[in-house]
Amino acid sequence: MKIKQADQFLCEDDAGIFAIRGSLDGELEEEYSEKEQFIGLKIEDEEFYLPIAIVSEIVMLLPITFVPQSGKFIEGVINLRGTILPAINLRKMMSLPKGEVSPATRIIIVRHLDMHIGVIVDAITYVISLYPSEIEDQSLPGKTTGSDLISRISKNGDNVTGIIDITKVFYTAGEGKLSLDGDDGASSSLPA
Amino acid sequence: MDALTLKAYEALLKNILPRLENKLQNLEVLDASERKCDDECSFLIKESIELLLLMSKWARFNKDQFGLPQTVAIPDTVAGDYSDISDGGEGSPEAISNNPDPDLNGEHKDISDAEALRLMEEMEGSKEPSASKHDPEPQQAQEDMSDAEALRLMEEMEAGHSSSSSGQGEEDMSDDEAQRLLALMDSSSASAEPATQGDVSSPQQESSTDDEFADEKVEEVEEFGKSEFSSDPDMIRDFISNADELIERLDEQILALEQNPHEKEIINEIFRAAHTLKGAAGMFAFRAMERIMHRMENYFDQIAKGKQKVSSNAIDVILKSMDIIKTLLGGVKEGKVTGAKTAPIVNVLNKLCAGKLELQDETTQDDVKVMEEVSTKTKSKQQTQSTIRVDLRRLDALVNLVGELVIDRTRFSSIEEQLRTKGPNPQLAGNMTETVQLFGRHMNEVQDIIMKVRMVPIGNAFNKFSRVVRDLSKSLKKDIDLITDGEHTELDKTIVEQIGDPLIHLIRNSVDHGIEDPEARQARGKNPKGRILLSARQEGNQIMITIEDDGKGMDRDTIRQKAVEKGLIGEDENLSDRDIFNLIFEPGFSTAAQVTNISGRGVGMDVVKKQISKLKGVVDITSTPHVGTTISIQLPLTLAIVQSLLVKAQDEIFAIPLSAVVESIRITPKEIQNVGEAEVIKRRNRVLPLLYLQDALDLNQKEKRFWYGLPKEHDASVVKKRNANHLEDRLFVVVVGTAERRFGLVVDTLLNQQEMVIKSMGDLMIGIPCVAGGAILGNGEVVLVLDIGELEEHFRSKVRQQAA
Repeated sequence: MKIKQADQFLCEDDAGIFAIRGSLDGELEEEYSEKEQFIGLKIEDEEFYLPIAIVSEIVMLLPITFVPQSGKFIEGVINLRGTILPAINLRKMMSLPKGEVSPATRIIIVRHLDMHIGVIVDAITYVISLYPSEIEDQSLPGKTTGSDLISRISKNGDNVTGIIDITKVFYTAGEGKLSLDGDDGASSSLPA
Repeated sequence: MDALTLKAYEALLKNILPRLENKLQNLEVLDASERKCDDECSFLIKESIELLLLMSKWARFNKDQFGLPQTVAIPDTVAGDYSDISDGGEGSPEAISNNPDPDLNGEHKDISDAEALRLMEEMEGSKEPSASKHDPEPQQAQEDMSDAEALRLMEEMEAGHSSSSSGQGEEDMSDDEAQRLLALMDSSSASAEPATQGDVSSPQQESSTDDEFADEKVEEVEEFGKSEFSSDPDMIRDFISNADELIERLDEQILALEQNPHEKEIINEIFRAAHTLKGAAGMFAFRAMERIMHRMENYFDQIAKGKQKVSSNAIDVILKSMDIIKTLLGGVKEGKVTGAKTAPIVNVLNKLCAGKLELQDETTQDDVKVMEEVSTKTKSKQQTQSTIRVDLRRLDALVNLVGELVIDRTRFSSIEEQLRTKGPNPQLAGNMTETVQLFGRHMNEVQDIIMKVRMVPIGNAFNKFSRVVRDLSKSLKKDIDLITDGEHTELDKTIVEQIGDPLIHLIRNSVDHGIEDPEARQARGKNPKGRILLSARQEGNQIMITIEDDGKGMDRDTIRQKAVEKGLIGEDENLSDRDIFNLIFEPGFSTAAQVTNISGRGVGMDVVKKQISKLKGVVDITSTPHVGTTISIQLPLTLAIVQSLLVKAQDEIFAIPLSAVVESIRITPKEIQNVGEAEVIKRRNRVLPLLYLQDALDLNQKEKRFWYGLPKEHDASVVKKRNANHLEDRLFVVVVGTAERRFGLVVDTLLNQQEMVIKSMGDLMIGIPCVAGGAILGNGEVVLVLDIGELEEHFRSKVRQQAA
């Protein structure tokens, strides 16, 4: 697949400049239906893709309000123009250590069913279009660095990139909350 | 079929129209100012219009078959010599369509002259054969019939027609059958063959005379017929909301009628509502519903005419049919067939209409006179309220927007404050201040109004209770009066809707467990008639609902014993009466020795409490043995906007709903005393347990768990101002809870007081302990709103744990 360096899209903020590369499909109208678009994101140093269809928007890191006794992976809640949304700590979900909050940190607002959540990522890279043939359904063994959040893999070019399955993110976040709730609720009411 | 139409037509000509004409002539004598359409008049007009419409519908329907009648060939067929008809009665087609009633002109135009003429033609075609063969003296028969009977007959026919026009299988009804029916009508029922009755649907059969009503075999009809309207979801929605309202009104009025059987106004009201509901159901072809409503309408028509009397039995029957109607309406709402059996009740209603159901308390002729007198007095009371129906979703959207505006206002004032204190241009800041203040004032008004828009009288929820109490007390053989007070107290519609179930439960409890049998009451020297007082009143921003009974009260010791058995409290735990009574709100708690079908299964009171807490309400019980039990429920007026106190603990801001705040105080650590491991302070002679907010919420976890904290710009000026007062050795305590069950919440700082809109934080955040939701501050920051009820529970379980 041809990833064009051409369409350079500048995100202006004092933090730096991010290039959004890739064919934005402007002139590939008839191929559009076959292709699926993804947003590239970075957690630690690894790149992941997130289907663009479920992304409503990407915002800078907003002030997050800590919610005590909430799910383990729920960082807190944010105010997105008057709507309160939970923000998911993807690093924690991928069993990564706490990292530095950098100016590149973003919150991707994704939607699943009727729920909206924010997913905190270390950086956004670019938008990419992939043909179905370049994607392989594949769940990965192992528990580290998010392999359990992946159910498809892009084998575009030389690189192999995991595509994050948002259902699993929701599931993990929700499940974490549920199991924690049970324990926390009971244990926190017990302290002598 | 043809013969029936003929009958209808003749009745119209001979009965309704002459009466109408008479009426109208009388009207013309009056001054223009006094000239108005009375009930009978409009009823007559309505009936005639309906009949005409039906006839034209029927005629159109039978257009195809019309040329080939099976019995006798029609001479001169469609040539249309309708002089016959014009002679037959004085109401010529012209007279019908030019009915000189100003109110109904519009409706009359619906039937064009041409249509009327065509109708007449077609009528004639059918009249000839049937009349000549089987009905030698139709006019005679017709004249013998009383007005009322004729009218009722009209209605019956109408039912028959409408059901036939919607394809119930009678389309093919032959003239033979019609003739048979005709014969039935003329009381020559000997010729009728019972075997063929099965082919005819019930409404048809019942269009015979009074006596036949009772013995008819009524069959089940489809709940849903075909109708062009029923496919339109908007129309259905309209129908449902309309029907809900009508049913509510009917329920209310029927019960009022029982109390007051001579009130003509009530009867008319019921009749009107029943008629409207029947009509609507018919339009959508909800056959079963239509059929029941139709019978009820008949019955009330008879009552209105003084031909029947209201009896308690009859009310029972009517109420039962209302239940079935509700079931059927439930089916309509869900869009599926409920399978409710309507035939038995239709049978009973038929009997009722025929006057064959035994009546208990007969009223005399004199009563009827009184009834009429009363009716003239009450007539003037009727006043139409000018209201408009609004989709609740739109209203909610509006309420939400106003909520947003309220947030914006706080934001404006914080900008204004910064401008005023730090801004370079005092002149501009002054203008800003003025504008913001004005804006704030207008916002307050808008907020007030928008909140009132959602307000409905709680009476809507109360009304159904009289029915519940009535039915229950009957089945339990107790004599109980339900007295309601403060029905006009208004609160948010959502609350009114959701408070119904818990209230019903509490009332059932009062009836079942609270009030004793009449004998037991007498033995205690009480009035054998029990009394339940249901009242509502507004207290500031709260609504107080109390359910008070004068029954046997609650047995402190039994409850205590049960609680110990269930391990809810310790053996030697010392609890106040109030605490003990409130134990019944614990899940699975029931003291009833025997499970009755009304209550006692031990589910319920906890659900009641949960439901009330969900509405941000508080419930409390007091009881005195043999004097009675009082349950009081405190509810907020509205759920949308909440006055809150902002506090800070461990650098996090939390909002406490002001409704839960009793006071906020400052104490020195010296004042804290230890009782066991618990910390308490003594204040105004009361012991106040203390709870540290940061402990309760595990705020210490934050360090570990919170990775992405950005420095927040708290409203600096406010914080600073408060901090200046905040001495190191002082603690801020917010006293929260209900009147009797208070505790002190220790926080780091008190901030300001603010109006805020509690928002859901998404499905992922549901069920987080002690947090009711989120709210957005003026600076855009999200704060968590604390759920004081849960905090209290949390606190109590902690106390209990320590005690154990």
